[in-house]
Formats: sequence, C-alpha cells, structure tokens
Amino acid sequence: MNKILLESLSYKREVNDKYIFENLNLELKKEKGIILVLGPSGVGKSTFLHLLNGLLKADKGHIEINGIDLTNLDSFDSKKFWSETCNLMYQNFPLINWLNCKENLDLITGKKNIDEMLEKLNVKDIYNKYPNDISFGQRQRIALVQCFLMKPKIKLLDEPTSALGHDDKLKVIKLIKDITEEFNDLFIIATHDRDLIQFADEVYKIENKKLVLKNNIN
Amino acid sequence: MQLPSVLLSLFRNRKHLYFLIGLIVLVTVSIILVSVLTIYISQSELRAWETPLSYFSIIEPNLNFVDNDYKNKLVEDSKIKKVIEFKDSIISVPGILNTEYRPVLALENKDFEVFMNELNLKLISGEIPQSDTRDIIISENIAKKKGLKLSDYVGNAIDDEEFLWGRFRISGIFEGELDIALASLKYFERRLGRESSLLVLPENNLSSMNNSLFNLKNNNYNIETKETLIKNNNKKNKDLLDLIYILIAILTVSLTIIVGLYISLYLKTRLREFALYYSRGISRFNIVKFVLKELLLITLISQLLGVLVSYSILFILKEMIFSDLIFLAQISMFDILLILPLFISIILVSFILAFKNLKIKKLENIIMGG
Repeated sequence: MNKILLESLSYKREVNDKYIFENLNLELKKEKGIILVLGPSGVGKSTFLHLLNGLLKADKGHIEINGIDLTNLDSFDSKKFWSETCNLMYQNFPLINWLNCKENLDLITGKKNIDEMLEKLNVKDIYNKYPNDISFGQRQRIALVQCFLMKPKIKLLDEPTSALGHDDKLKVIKLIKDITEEFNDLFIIATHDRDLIQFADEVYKIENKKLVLKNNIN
Repeated sequence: MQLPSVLLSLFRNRKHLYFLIGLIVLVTVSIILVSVLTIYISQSELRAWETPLSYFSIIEPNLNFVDNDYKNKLVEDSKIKKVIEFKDSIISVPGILNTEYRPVLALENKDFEVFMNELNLKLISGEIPQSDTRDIIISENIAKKKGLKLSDYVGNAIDDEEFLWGRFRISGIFEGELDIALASLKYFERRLGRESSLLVLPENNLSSMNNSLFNLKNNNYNIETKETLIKNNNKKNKDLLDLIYILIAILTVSLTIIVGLYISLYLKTRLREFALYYSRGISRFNIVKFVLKELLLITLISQLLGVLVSYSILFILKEMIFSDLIFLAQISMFDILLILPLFISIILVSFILAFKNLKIKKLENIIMGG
C-alpha cells in the first residue's frame, strides 16, 4: 500500500514570494490507480509534483511518502528515493539524443522484452530511430514507456499527453490504466486535459492554494 | 537506470569532439617535434663523437705537450691496450641546417693497422694515407653522403662550406660502424704544430679502462670519455632545454585554456542528458565519474594519436624530404614525457569543470523545466 502524507504544507515561489500552497493537508492511501491533479496553467500542478518528488523543499509542513520523510534534509536520500520509491517523468520528455529509442529503453530495462508494450503504444516501428528523427508525440510515447518500465511504484507524470493527438492520448491513458492493474503502480498525473478524467480513480483540483478532491467533476 | 557505455557515448558524440581531438593532437605533435628537432640540432657534437668514444677514450693535454712519465704510466697500465698519439679535425657531412660533421683523426702510419683492427674498420678500396701527405681515407657512408670517390679532393680550400681545413686527396674508403675520416699525423703536425692528444684503446673493457684513466688523472690532462662527452653536452644544452621547457609550458597553458573553454561548452550542450540521469536516481558523483572517464579517454586517444602523427611526420621528414641528408632524429622517451604536463593539466581542468558544471542545483533546475 502506497501512503502519501502531507501535513500543513506551505510553499511559496522565490520569484514573487507568493504562496502556491498554504497549510495543505492530504492523506492518500492507495495501492494502485490513477490520480489526476487538475488545474489551469500556472496554478502549481508541476510544483506539486516537484514537492512530492523532493525536488522542491516545502517552506513549512511535512511530506512523507511510504515512510520516507522528504522534509528531513538530513535523512532524505534523493538518489534512493528516485530509483526505488517515486519517480517523475518531467514535462519535456527527456531522451538521450545520441542513443536510439531501443537503447534509451535498454538503460532502464537491461534489454528485457517489451514488445507487447511497444505494440500497444504504437512505437514499435520507431524503435530503432534516434529521438531527433521522430515526432514530438513519438518522443513522448517512448519517454512514457521508459517511465512505465522504471522500478518505483509511485510514478509522477507531468502533462504526459500534452503532445499527443486524441487517439494516441486515449491509447496512452488506457495503457497507464492497464499498467496500474498489471504492475500495481500508482500514477499521479498533473494535467489540464479533462479527457483523462474518465480514466482516473481520484481527481484533485488545485483551488485556493489547496488540493481539493473532486469526485463528481464530470 | 544505468549509465550508457562511455565508449558508445564517445563514438556517437564524435562530431562534437573532432575539434577537441584535433587541437590536442596538434599541440602534442608540436611539443614532440619542437623537442626532438631542437635537441637534435644541438647535439651535432654528440652525434659526431658518441660512437667513436664507445671504442676508445681521449686524453688532451692542457699544456702543449704530453710528458713522457705520464705516457709511460698509461702504456704500463694493464687495462690499456694501446696509446696512440693523434690530432683531430672535423669533416662536414650533409645534414639539416648544415650542422652535421664527423671526426677526422690524424694518426701516425704505424698506428693505422691496430686502430682500424680494433674499431673493425676495413679498407674496401684504395690505400691508407702515406706519411706526411694530404691523403685521407673516409668511411663508406661519408663518401656516399658527400658523393665522393677515390682521388677526389676535399677541404675548405676547394669548398667554402667544408669544415675540414686545407685540401685533402681521398686515398681510400673503408667500411665499418664508425663514420670518421683518417689522415696522416705528420702532415697535420706540419700544418698545425707538434702538440698532440692521446687516444687510448682498452685491453678488454672500456669502462674499466676509463676508471683506470680517472685513477691516473693528472691535472695537466683532460680525459674525454663517452660519459664526459654526454655530461658536457647536457651542460652546454641546459639553456636550450630551459627554452624548450618555457615554450612547452606556454603551449600547454594556452591549450589547456582553449580545451577548458571547449569542455565547458561541450558539457553545457549535454546538461539535459546529465539531468535525466540525475532524475532517474544516478548520483552526481557517478555522473561526474562518467564525464571524467569520457574526457580522460578523449585526452588519452588524442595524445596517442599525436604521438603516432609525430612518428609519421618524422618518418616522412627522414625518408622522403631529407633522405639525401644525414638526419638521425628520433623520438625519445624524454620527448614523450614532455606531453605529460599537458595530459595532467587537461585532466585537472576536466575535473574542475565537471564538478563546476554538474552542480545539483543546476541539474534540478533542468528537471523542473528551467
């Protein structure tokens, strides 16, 4: 069971000294599934993921994920946390340009057979191409496969479908759904795309510097 | 996640590295060739005398004569086979910058046979110089390089650029390991005066004979052995070596600055890649190690390439461009060691730049879209 605990969390931007989150409390206990964090651009969706990933440090309060205290700077080991507990696929879908798609994935899988997943995501034909030779959408799909294959059970995705067309978007979210079932992964997805809501197990919206659970958003 | 292979990374990123490799190769070649050629040009005396002094040693009187007591002591020494009176001059041979020459030894007629036997010199044409004549015999190699044959004349009386005084007739040509010329002592004495030096041939072993010579040392005489020749040559070339060191230091520092700037740029173009590794749980230390391995390999490969290019250039110079001249320059371990400071400074700069460019804050900013 994955457990995410946020207590009295406050975080303000250094640039304008304004709070994005203030006194935010949240307790999430979930083994698997898709959790959406909705909100318009600039409201703090990415910041929320960066806080959960330990990249940003809270100004006040406490963040704990699966027993790991992210706010305790002395004990927090980001390397171990990112490689074993929680990992973020960041917005610009990073791939290593001088490795082809297969080699990029091999770094994660150690050359495991992932044909089925490639088939589902419609990326098998670009497997041997270099990231610079494929479209942005294709890059995004490869980056997603990379993210799916990683060890951490909690996966944070920042706008994972932003570069995809409608059909590809549905394919990706359906695959995420399948993966949650098959591998017991928990996806926390920051997005402004309301098409994804129907596939989510829980939907949160950022409102008034808090995270508000919206069960009947449709 | 694991880091990719360093070799694959170097291979796939080679387009960005050609400039860096080219630069390191160029400076490595410059350092080696500057050192080889300068030292070579400064060692013409060593080249002329080093091989002859592997067979015998020389005693030069500080006064204008050799006293008989001293000479008798030498003759009686069991380590010495033969003491021969001689005078010397030099004969030019074609070499780069016109600095190449070989010794001319003038001996008494009675000493020719033993001297030539001891030094394995065998007359292949003509005859040994007649006493008190302008006859001279030269080695086959000198004859070939200078284009001389029997009965030709040699000397600065007929050629301004010749180092050998007067005018001599080639009476014979010999073969053997030594590049020297032999003439009549009597004729030399008539032209240059009576004072002579002594040439001492060892009974068995040259170094034990030299020890014996130093034990008999008399302040009125200088002993010239192969070792003293090398020592004096090094002393004479110390200023030249200092100049080479300064030049190499300037080259090394200049290249390190340029390489440093380029490495900085190279690391910046790959910062997103390093941030990706970091975001996947690879420690900064391991990423820096990966980068340093790459830079170490580039430097090593470039310097090895530089050494190979230097050997090739020297080969072309010797075998094609200066094939008609005597050009014996060789790359020594000393020349190779001179590129070591360059290697160390590039690695040091790489180390500093890798840590400076791969700061955690920088990597985190990239992950967060900065």
